Amino acid sequence: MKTPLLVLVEILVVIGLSRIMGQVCRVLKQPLVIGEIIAGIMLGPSLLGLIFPAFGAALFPAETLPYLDILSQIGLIFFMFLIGLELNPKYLQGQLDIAILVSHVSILVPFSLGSILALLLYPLVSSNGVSFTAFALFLGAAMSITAFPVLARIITENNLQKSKLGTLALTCAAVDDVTAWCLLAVAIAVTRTNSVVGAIPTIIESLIYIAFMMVVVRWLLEKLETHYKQTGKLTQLLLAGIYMGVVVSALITEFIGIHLIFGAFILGAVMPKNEGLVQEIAEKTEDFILIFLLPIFFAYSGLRTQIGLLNRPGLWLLCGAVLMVAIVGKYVGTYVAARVSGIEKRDASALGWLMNTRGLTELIVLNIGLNLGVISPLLFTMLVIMALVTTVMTSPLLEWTYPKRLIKLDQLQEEPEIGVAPQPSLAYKILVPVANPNTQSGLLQLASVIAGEKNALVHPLSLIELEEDYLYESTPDAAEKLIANRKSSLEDVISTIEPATVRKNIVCLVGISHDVARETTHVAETERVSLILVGWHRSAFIENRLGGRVGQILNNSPTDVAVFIDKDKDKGESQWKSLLVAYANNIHDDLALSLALRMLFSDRSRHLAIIQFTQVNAAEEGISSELRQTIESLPEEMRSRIKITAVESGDPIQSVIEASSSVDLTIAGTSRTWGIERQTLGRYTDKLAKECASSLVITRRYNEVSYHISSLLDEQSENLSPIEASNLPS
Amino acid sequence: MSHFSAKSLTFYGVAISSVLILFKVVSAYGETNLNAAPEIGGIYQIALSQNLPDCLAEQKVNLTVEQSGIYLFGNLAGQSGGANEKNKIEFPLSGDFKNQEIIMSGKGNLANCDSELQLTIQGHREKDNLIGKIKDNSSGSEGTFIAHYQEVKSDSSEEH
Repeated sequence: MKTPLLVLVEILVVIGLSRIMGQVCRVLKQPLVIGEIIAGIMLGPSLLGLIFPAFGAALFPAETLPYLDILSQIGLIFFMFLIGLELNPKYLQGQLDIAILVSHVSILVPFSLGSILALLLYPLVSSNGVSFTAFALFLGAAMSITAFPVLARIITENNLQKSKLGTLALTCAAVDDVTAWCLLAVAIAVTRTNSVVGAIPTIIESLIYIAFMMVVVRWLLEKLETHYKQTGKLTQLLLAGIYMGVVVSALITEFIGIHLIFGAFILGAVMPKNEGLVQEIAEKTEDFILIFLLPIFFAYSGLRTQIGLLNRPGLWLLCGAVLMVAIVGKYVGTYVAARVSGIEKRDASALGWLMNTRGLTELIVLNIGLNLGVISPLLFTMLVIMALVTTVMTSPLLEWTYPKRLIKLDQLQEEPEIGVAPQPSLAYKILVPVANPNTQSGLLQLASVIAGEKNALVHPLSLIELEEDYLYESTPDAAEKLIANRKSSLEDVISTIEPATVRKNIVCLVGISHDVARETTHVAETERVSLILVGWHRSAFIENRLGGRVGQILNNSPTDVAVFIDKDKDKGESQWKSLLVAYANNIHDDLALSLALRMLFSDRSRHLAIIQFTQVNAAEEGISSELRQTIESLPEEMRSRIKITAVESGDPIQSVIEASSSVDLTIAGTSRTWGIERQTLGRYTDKLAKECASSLVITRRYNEVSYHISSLLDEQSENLSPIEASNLPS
Repeated sequence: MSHFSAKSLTFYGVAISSVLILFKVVSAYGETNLNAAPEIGGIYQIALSQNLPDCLAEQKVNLTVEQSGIYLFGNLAGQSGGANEKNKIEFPLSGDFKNQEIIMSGKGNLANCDSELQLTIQGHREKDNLIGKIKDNSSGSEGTFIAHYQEVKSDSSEEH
């Protein structure tokens, strides 16, 4: 195969595997970048080359590597431009004094330890073509790195961006990022000239160039910002000019003697942080860079990572030493500085783990080091392992030191966000996951009807799922705007809920999540909700109404779940005047009945028909004793609105389907009787859901402990006839 | 602690100076007292040999040495069918570079060799040549060789 064609095949494999491994890492609660790094390593000599050497050599022959190198360099240049672009001075507003101290100490300590480690490593893994000073500088710089983009993503995903810890970590990482790049620039200059003195002209030229960019280019870019404000759009011509500027700036820093990436980074950093302008540049640039070019960089790095080189215990010990120095240096430096600044132990510890995130930034530094020959392939592999381990460990260690239940106590804002909703001692809470607020007013309306006006709370939960680690929308600032927009949409929908008196009981929860189903069950646990009411959407891929995310919530939620299938949209609260409960005397039908009774409480014009299915020998009135006792405990006025019909045999599902044609809403539990049962792998069948003529609520009760109407009966006991407490489970 | 107070500026001054002094001391010590291994990595073509195992002697054999300091990795690549890359079979080796001498060993198969070989290569560099001996531990045979340096095989793609 011709080389260019083979390169295209390689790119296909690289992007495909990166996506697969990225998804695997998402399941494991790890950043996408870990999956991409692992995918790159898998394609190299560490796995593919080890297991199928002939295939590995045929897929990635040496003659294709220069092509991959060029593509990855282009990807890196524009990625660094994006990093600079997203480095907003806003991030420097949070506790700047402490942040500068912490970030500087968190660089100085690992840098010092790295330099000392160089005394051990230099005679072992370097060659005499590299000066000790350059080697020690590079090793120190490699140890000092904190990956701002990955850290920002982890903070956003944990909804920490407005917490004290999150703002401090972001400020530290931003300061750290700039300082570490400066350190790296010095290390490159020293490496290229092989002496500190020789590097001085390069450093002076770099400083002059930075000053030029901050004054002259910044002034020009402000003109561009003014033009953008006037026209309100970024034309292709303007964007072409910016891209050319990125390349020119990259070339200048390369000629100065540092590296291509610095020029791109500096241009991004001096770009005016006009919200619209930055967003438009980022959104137009990032998709192709992040999806297409960045995985090639990871693959190119992976092809040069040879874990097989660590083929004896002594080398693994050296690798362990590298890892230890990196982790301890960063953690201890951060922890001590944070404690000296008056930060609490737990926060200082969490900050220490967060600052250990090295991710992609470390990989960029290592590849430069390997290209320059200052680090050998063996040390490169050790440092790649270190970058992987330090990034992988961040999320679990953060969760360990700083569990989510503590995050909610640490929010700086007053508005209710995830985990900070008011926590009155309410009897009944409904959690309503809302993907798109504009299409789910019916769901919220139903939730408020079930909840009623008193002693209840409805939490619309809107989780924003971020796809990519480095997308502009993943930055904490942009994520906050997404949250604000989503909250505003939700409030618009809430303002349409009738009657107006129930609106005060609706409190929005909005946040970022990488796994909506899992986060929903987590919020249900922490908020101690009584019911999750989830809406069903027609999916392009899943025919089953109880599959996909709905199925995940049904299977995993530690609370009662109801699935609403709205077949009669746009009618509002008035649509559910006649209800039907399909009752087959199991716990899920009990939940169905209790929801229907709650709806009866909230509107005196509402009627309920119960179809009870019994096998044989039904009680004289055709209903079970338990159901009868429940009904009898209701006030007379309510009993008059309930009609019970018994079905003894035949096709119960068909009976319900026929009856559903004359009601507004059918409610049924998950049971074989109604064709809604859980099968292998937790999959639910959905026969009734498919054929029901009215809108449908499917209920799945988590356990038999709670009974949902008790609170309402208690609440109305002053005006209505009392109930026998023993008739109802507590 | 205010960032621009005299106290904090003093702290930064002391901290940064301490690290610079530490680095100066470490680098001065390293530059004067520590010696890294000379560069020896590259591809060597075995040109002259005596008493090598027959199957080795009958083919063109390249010795590739990838160096990471004193740690050496590489392979012997034999080509039984002329210069055709498809007939190339690589024999993995690893070892050390100590006292100006390489010692690499490994076991595997090479083209034209009937049984598995267990080779140890020992040698030193003289100008552009690698001179030493090859021992097959499985058969006990031992031969000498001279290999000519072909090119530097390195990942370095930038000048420094």
